[in-house]
Order: sequence, then C-alpha cells, then structure tokens
Amino acid sequence: MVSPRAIVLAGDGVNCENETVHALRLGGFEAESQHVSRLLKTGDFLSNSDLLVLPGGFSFGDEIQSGKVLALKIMSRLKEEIEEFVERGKLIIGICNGFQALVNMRLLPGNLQKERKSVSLVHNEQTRFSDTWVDLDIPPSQEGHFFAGLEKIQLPIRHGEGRIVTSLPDQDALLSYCPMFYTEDVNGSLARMAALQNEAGTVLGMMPHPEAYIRWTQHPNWPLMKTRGEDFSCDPPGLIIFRNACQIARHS
Amino acid sequence: MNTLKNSPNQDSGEETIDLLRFAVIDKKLNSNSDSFQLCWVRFSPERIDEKELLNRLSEVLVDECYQKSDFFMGSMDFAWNNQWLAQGFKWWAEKQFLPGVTDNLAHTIKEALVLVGGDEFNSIEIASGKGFLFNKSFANKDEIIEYSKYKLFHPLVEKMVVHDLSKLDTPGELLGYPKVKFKLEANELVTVDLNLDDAKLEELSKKRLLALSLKEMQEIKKYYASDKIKKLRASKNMPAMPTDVELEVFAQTWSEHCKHKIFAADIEYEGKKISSLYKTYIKGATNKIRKKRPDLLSVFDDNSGVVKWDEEYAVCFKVETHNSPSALEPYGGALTGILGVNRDILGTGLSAKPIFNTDIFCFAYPHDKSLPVRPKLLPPLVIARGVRLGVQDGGNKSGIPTVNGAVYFHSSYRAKPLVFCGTGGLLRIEKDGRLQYAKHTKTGDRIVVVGGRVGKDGIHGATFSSETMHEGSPVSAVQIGDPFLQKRVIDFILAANEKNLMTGITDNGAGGLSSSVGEMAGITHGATMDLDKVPLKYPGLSDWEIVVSESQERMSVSVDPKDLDAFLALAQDYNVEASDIGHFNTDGYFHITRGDKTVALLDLDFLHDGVPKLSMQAEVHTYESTESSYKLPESGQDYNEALLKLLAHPNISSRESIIRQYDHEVQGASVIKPLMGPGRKAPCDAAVIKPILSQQAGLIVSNGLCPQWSKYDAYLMATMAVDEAVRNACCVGADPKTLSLLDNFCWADPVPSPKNSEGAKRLGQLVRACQGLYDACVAFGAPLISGKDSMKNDFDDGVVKLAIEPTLLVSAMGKMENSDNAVSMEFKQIGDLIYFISAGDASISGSHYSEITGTRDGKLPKVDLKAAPKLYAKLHKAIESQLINSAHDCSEGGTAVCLAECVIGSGLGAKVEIEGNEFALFSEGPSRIIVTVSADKQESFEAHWKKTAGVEVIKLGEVVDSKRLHVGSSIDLSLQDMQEAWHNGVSDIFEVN
Repeated sequence: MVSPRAIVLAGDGVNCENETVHALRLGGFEAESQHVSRLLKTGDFLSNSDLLVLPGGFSFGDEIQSGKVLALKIMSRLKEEIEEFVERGKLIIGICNGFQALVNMRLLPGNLQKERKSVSLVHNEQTRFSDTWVDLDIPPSQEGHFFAGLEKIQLPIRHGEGRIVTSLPDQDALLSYCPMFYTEDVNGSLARMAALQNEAGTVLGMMPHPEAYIRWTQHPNWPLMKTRGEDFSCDPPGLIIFRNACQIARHS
Repeated sequence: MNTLKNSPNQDSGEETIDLLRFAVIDKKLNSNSDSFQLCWVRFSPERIDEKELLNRLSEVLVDECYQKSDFFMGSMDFAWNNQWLAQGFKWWAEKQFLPGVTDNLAHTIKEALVLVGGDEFNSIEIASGKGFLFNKSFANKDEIIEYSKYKLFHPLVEKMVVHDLSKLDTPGELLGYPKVKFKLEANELVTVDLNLDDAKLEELSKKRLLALSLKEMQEIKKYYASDKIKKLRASKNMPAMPTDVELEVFAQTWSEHCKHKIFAADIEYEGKKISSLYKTYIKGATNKIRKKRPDLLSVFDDNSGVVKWDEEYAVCFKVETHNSPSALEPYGGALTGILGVNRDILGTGLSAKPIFNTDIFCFAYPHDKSLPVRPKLLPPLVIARGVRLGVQDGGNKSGIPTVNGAVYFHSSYRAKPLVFCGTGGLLRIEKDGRLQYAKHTKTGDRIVVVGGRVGKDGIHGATFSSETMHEGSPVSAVQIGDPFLQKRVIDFILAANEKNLMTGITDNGAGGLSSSVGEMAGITHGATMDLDKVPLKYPGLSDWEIVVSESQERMSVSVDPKDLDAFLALAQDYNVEASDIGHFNTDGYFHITRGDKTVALLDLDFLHDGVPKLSMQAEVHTYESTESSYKLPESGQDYNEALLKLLAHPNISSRESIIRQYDHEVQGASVIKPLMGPGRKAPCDAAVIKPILSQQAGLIVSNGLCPQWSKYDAYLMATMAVDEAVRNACCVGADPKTLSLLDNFCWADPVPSPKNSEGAKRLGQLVRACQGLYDACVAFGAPLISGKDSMKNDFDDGVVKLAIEPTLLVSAMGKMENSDNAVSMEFKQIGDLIYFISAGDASISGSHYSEITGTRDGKLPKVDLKAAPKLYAKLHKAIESQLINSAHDCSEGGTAVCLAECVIGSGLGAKVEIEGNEFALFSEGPSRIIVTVSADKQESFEAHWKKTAGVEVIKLGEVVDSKRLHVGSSIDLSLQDMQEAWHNGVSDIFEVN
C-alpha cells in the first residue's frame, strides 16, 4: 500500500518540525519537512500531498500575535492553493503555533470567520507561558475522525496564547466545532475548548501537542506506570491521532 | 480613525518624512486592561500613501476580533484623553526603546508590512513601544516613573514619559522617533602614540577602556619599537605607531575573557610554583583519564567539548556565564547569555544542532532587607525576575528544551548575580568524508558573516557606563537578543552544512569579528577582511567599533570560493543576511582594510602568543574555625517545624514556578523531565533525553554547585560539586563510566594588587578549588571537556565592597544504553522498602539546618574519593538490572528533606523506623542517596551491595499510604503541610510575567 504523503512546514521560527515528522512516519505517513520559503516559491507542493501540518513553535518570534505573521505570509502567496487543497478534502493539522496560524488564516473554525475575523487565540488568563500536561475530554467522535477511539487522554500544552475567544454574538456556535476540551480551566479558554475543526472535520487545530506523546516514556508519570506493569505495547494517544490521520488520508 | 502627525520635518533636505503614531488597544478583554501597544512609523508620504499605510498597519497589527486601533494623540485632539478620563484614568505614559536597542517587535512588523504591502514598505522605519494608563492614586509624574522603573521599563534600554490626561501635551512633549544619531566620524586612519612613560601608558589603557595591564601595554610598545616590525610596517605603508583598530584588537585578544590569563599564570602556592592552573589541573585531569576514554573527540579546542555518542553521532556541551550583563539589565543579559551559548554549539566543528539547554542561576535572597542597597545595584528581585524571563524567551523561542537547571540563593550574590547558560548539541562524527567535529578552513576560503548586523552593541561590554550617553546615542552597554533571528540563523547553518557548503564556522560573541575572524585566521595563519563589506545597523561606526562590536546573532563562516554562490543563495532562501567580507590566507597577518586602505596589520603569532604571563603569589587558605566550631542544639527543637522551614527555604523549595515557564519538552526527546510523578511535582535530579528519537540510548544532563562550602575550604567545595553532579546523573541512571564534565569558575578578582588586598586569599582558594576538581575528576574517572571562568565578580562603588563566594559549577553529561530503565525520584508503590546509601562524611555545620537554627557540630563533610566511585558504579548496575524503583539525591536540607520530597512527588507516605536525631535528619554531605526497592527484591538488592568498602546501606523503612511522613518519634507531618511549605518557598519570586 502506498503511504499517504505529509508535508510539515518549517522555518521562520517554527520549531517542532523534526519530532512532528518523526511522529507522522510512525503513524504511517511518508513525511518530510519543508522550509516555508521553499514552499512559497514552488507552490505546487500541495498538489501531491495528502496532509499539510503546521507544527508548533514560535513563528516570527510570536511577535504581534502568535501565528499572525506566518498566516499573513502563507495567505499572501498561497491563498488559492490552500483553499483549493481544503476543498479537495485534503487534510490540514495545526498544532499549537500552527493552530494559531490556522485561526489567523481563517481556515478555522470552519466558515465561522468567513465574513470577518471573529475568533482568536489570545494570552492565557494567567498571562504566562506554561509547559504542563493536561487532561482532555474528547466528545464521542465518528469513525474516520482524527480522535476516533479516544475519550479521555493526557497531552502536554506548551503555550502562552491558547485562550480561545470570540466576538460572535452566539458563542455556543463555536462548540460544535470543538472536538477536544480541557477537563479543567488551564488558560481561560472559552468553554475550556482546546481544539477547533472545520465542518468536514478535515482541518484540525489543537493547542495540545500530540507529537509529544508518541512513546510511553514521554509521559511524566511513566516510571510509575512501568512499575505498575501497565501495557506499553499499545500506541500512546498522540500516536493514535497520527495513525487516525493516516487512515483518513488513505480514504480521502 | 484619526491620526496625529508631527509637523513635517526635513531629513537631509530632500524627502519629507512624516511621523505616525499608531496604537492598538484591546477591546475590553480584560477589565484591568491598562496598557496598549504603540508604535512610531517614519515614512515618506511621497512614497507611501498615508491611507494605504494605515490600512496595512491595521491588517498587520490589529485583530478585529478583540482589538481596535486608535487615533493618537496629544494637543490637537481631546478625544484621546477623554476616552481614558471617562474610564477613570488620570495619567497616561508611553515608553519606547532608546535609540539603537534591538527592537524585535518592530523588525517583525516591518517584515509583515513588506509581506502584505510590497517592497515599498522597506522605506519606512518603525519603532515599537507601549502605552500605560494610571489612575489618580498617583499624585504626580515622578511617582509614576518611580513605580514603573524596572517594573514597566528598564532605564538602561528604555525611556518612559508620563502625560497628564487633563492637559494636552504638544508633540514636543511626546516621545518622538528613537533615531540613532551621532556625529559621523571622518574616516581617517587614527594612530595612537605609545611613546609614553608607564604612568601615561596606564592612563591610556584606562581612558580607552582597553583593560590592559601596564606590563601588557609595555609589551605592545616594545613590539612596535622593534626594528623588524618598524621595517615591516614601513614596507606596507603603515604608520610606525599602532592604529586604533590594532590597539583594540590587542585589547580584545589579550582580555581576561578571551585569554584566561589567570588560569595561565605562574602561581606560587605553599612554596611551590604552579605553572598554569589550567594545564596542571584542568587539562591535567583530562590527560590523566584520557586513555580510558577513547570517546573524547575534541576537548578544550573548539567552542564546546565533543564526545562520541555512537558509531555515527557525537554530542557536545558548553556552559557559559553572563554575569555582568545580567547585573546591568537582567532580561537582556540572560537572553544574550542563552543565545550566545547556543551559538557556541552551532559554531562547534562544522556546526552542531542545539538539543538541550540547562541554566543555573545564583541570586541574592530577594526578600533579605539586610542586603546593601546601592544606586548601581539593581534590586535582587528585579534581577531574579528579569533573568528568568530572559532565559525563557531565549530557550522557548529557539525551540531548544530547557531540560535541567538550578537556582541557588546566597547573600554574597548581591555583588553580582551568576547566570550560567549551558547548551548541548548533536553532530555527526563524519559526513561525506569530512570529520564534522573539526574545522577544515583552508587558504583562499572566503570569510562570510551570517546573521545580525553590526551596531554599537556591547562595545567594551559593561564598562561603558550609561552616564556617558547622551540623547540620540545608541545604547552600547547592554544588548537585547533576537531569538527569532538566531533561530533563522540556526536553521540556515544546519541546512548549509547538510549541503557541505562550509569549511569552518565559529560564533561571534565577546570580541566580535576581532575574536571570531582572528581565531579562525590561526587555522590557515592569515586573514584579510574589508570593513566596507560588513553590514551595519546604522552608518557612522568607526573602524575599531566594527571590529570589536559584540552585536548578537552572528556567525563567521569559512566557505570554499566554489561554494560561495550556493551558500549566499541558500541564505537568501532562509531569510538570513550573509556577506562575503574577505578571505583566509597564509600570510601570517590579521589584515583589516576599509576598502583599499589598511587599517590594521597584526602579526598573528604575536597577537595570539605575545601576551605576557602573569606571575602571582597565592595565600594558603585556612578554615574559618569559628564557623566549624561546636554549638549545642537548643534543647527541645521541634523537628517538624524545622523540616517545614527547610522545605520553604529558597534553596530547597519547589522550582515549579520557573520550570513550567520553560519549554522542557520541545524536540520530543524528553524521558526524565524536571518534574515527574502522578501529580507532576517530583523534582528530578537530572534530565534524560533521547538525542536520536528512533534509538533507545539516553543522554543525561546534571549539575553540581556547592558554594556554601567555600568559606571553609574551596577544595571541599570543588569535590562536593563534582560529587553532586555525578550523583545527580547517576540517580536517574547514567553510567558513571560515560560521564564528561564541564567546569565554570566564578570568582571575585583573585589578582593580588595594592587595590585588591583580598586577591592573594582568593587566589589561594582558586588553587584549592582546582586541586579539588582535579582529585575528584581523576577519582571518578570523569574528564573535563570544556570550561570557562569569570573572575571579576565583585562590586565596588567606592562606598561598599562586595564579593561573591568562590563558586564552581560542575555540569555533567552522560549516557545510559536503555533510556527505558531511567529512574525518577518519587516513591512508587506502597510496601516498597526505603534505603539510605552513603559514603564519606556529613556535617551539621554548613548545612541549611545550621543556617536556620545556628546549630553547629564542629565537623565538615568529606567526599570519600575511594568509596564514592564504587557507590555510583553499583547504583548504575542496580538501575540497569531494574532492582530499584526510585532514587533521589540527598543534598540541601539533608535526609529529612530528601524523604519529604520523595513523599511529595509520590502523593503517598513514608514510615521510617529509625530514631531521628539532628545529624540523622538534617546533616548534609556527599554521596548520599535514598532509593526504594520492591519488597520482593529486598534480598537481591541487599546482596548487590555486599562487600562495597566504604559504602553504607541502611534500610530506613517503607512506603505507606498514610499521606504522611513519620520518622520515629521525631517527625510526623502531613503530605499537605509539607507540600504547601515546599511549593510556596519561591513562587512569589518567579510567578510573574
């Protein structure tokens, strides 16, 4: 079987491209990272890719607003190509800074920002950057979704600007675009939302880092889990997300 | 939208330049939103339409979901003032960087404007800043400035003015554009006459801030007076006397910072002559061990020490200090510290990829009211917070995980904070037929500078005081780093090396081009560079300033001429500036030109080897006997209370408030993180990462720092520091046979002179520390692979003299074959048996318990250099064969604190049967570890330790589910009480932004 192809954006302050490529390969993709300048130069890279990943990092030093300038850069050159990519049902995942960029590109949440910018990821309520593992609730999701088979998981968050806010009069409208919630209020995010997606479920942005939990010894409590004899032969939740993405990519 | 412009001013009589002020304000996101973003934009209305500019600024700066832009401001329009008055404010203030200070936000705004608006926007200039609003609780402007100093602005790099909202300030009262302006100096060759008597030579050194001693000045004078040099200079059309550039290059190359003259000096100690502490003890230790360590690939030669990792890869490690800059401007000092050591890794061999950071800070107690307050000393709290934030931005934005660190408080660091920044890297051993840990620079290769532009930053470092600056003069004393620019440089350099486009590389740190190109010139024995080709931040720098400027984020690279075009094209792809400024040759000179004109011609041999050797006498240091004398404990000590006090001690309490603000997981390699366990509170002794994600092997990073013992004996301090670094590494599973160490000495000035009466004593302490370091390294079989010294950590403003305790940081890097066997420190399960393993002597004197109670037992600790290595070898075997479930280093606070931390980390409890006395509970000493073992492994565990001479293994008790710590009848405390004390010790210092 031919592996689906994933392109991981790199450069301009993005810094999780290597471990994200590693995770995608474990998940079944043929994956490589590409510098953003090269992608913008050639443009046609999207035509033979199944998944575009905007990984975590501090693009443009997080100056002005996280993900903002990266979004401007991509959309100033590749707006049409990206929109066409999404229309063809191809997949985009934005993680952390990548998620912030997708919201600034107005690809998320779905069509809610079509008219005007109305959703943002802003400074955490505690106004601090925080690297900590969080508990996450995943509402029952359909087969063929990124989070299929997952219910309650833990992943690390590593951000200072992860609080979802909206200027939409109907804030609840956002809820149906959220496939993942923090179980506790960790950053002041509206309704404890940790991720957003589009209507088709093909574009996903999430603040937690799935690529940071693709082996059991990445979990902060793994020594105890090992002492207790927990089963380390199955896939950790982060890796399941990438395997799911691979399944979707095969069928899209 | 409304805007206010200054009345047009004329720039150089040609174009009209307008100044636009643009504010971005959050729409009621926070009820306490009392600040906003502000920027100043200089533009030519002939080139850019104002409306277009405003639209683009909005597009780039404003998120309409929660922000609005606002009109701005002052005398022509009441609307601005009225909106704030209506919200109950009485004052507003604006701040901006002083001219020439690195403004990262402005750089990004401009790049974004060009992205959306096109190349025309390259013609504008932008400065960023902030606005603040204050209510009537402030009586006047001065009060606001006083309140804001160090909190909202730092006077060394920023300027703030306050405006009364009830009045309309004229444009002249508002902050204008912070443009760098200074007298353009005529570009003429400046020579400096050295035909001076000794007093005048010393004066010259002082006046030009050369920091050269009389002996060194005389040596340079002698050089220029020699017939050979006279003839040579005449033949090359050079003046007989040195040019200012030449003199500055001497001063830089011969500086203590670059030449380590103290460690190279002849020292008389106890009637014997030590010829170079460095060669005798530091390199000496490594040479002694070397035979047993074929994995040492490159030690002491390059920007970091390089050790073989496996058949394909090598790892490297370097730790630097950035103390003086951090004392002046803590944020910028620490930020440039971490970025600087990242470049050391990038500049190792043909470049290595930074894979971890480790940071150790030494601060004065922030809340100690007894510490001296001096105008030139920043408040300790300001230093601690600034440093923490600087390292956060430096590490996080570069995508390098901060995996390990320490914070140590001692009142002596009021003299100067110590900021140790360390970085490890990964490189291949060989690639396409070239060794990657060596330089391959050859004659004819081009000199290419990559990255940031050159400004007045850091010229003469911290000696350039703020008083001498005037309006419009660029700030040179302190620097702010640009982690984003450097990340681009890192990405580019690694990509260029992938394509084999470089033959050598080194970083630009202290000494700038003078140092980087001067050093690389040593490889081929000659270099020529043209200052006209060096890209500048602004015009008007004199030749010598370009040569010694310490502007950040720059690498110097040697490139084969055939690869030059490809190298420069790749740089463009990566949005990095790269400039060809000259070439390497075999002429024997460091030759600097400005266009065709030679401004410096320096004999490389003399430049690198001509510095005269220091010769000094060291005083034999004796123990401070009063401190180690016996003092009875007061009867009826409440050990519960003592333990809670110790847990809240700034040197012991939880570092969570710092750790969480550092990304310690990026790159996806972490195995043992700084905080582990079910509640993620267990403070781990060392970090374990997997440098190669697809392999099992783990790399361990740890540190040891024990300045509290210096006042007794610096030998003891050094052996304790080595033991601590080794112990921490071994507690998580490092194989002690693989450990490589780094030494970082921070001392108060140890050069004896009439002005420095303490010099001889400090020098004696330095000798003792080196001897201790040597003995410990040899005993543990752990070689030193790199190091650094910082020898001027004192303060003297003519009124108060302060000096730090002699401090040696030992950093360790090691390996374990299977990282799945790594061990964390927290207790694991109910019923596990708790053991205390130890070697050597401990004491109450000098302990933290002694500090809080005044008790002394008249003893001092001692590292048993025979038994301790055996202890760690056995511990490693026990971990490898999975005999133990947890291991924790028993250090500050003693056994009781160690047990408490293991309980806090686990959320369980412990019942320790032994009867605790003071010594058992709170003494501090080397080589002590608490481990737990599953009950079913008791027999094999105890058998494992049989016949280990000098190592004591005692069963203390077991892990229980009581959520309490019981130690005999001495201690009975709840998990919650211990946790609260431990958690809140320093959180108020660091939990800010």
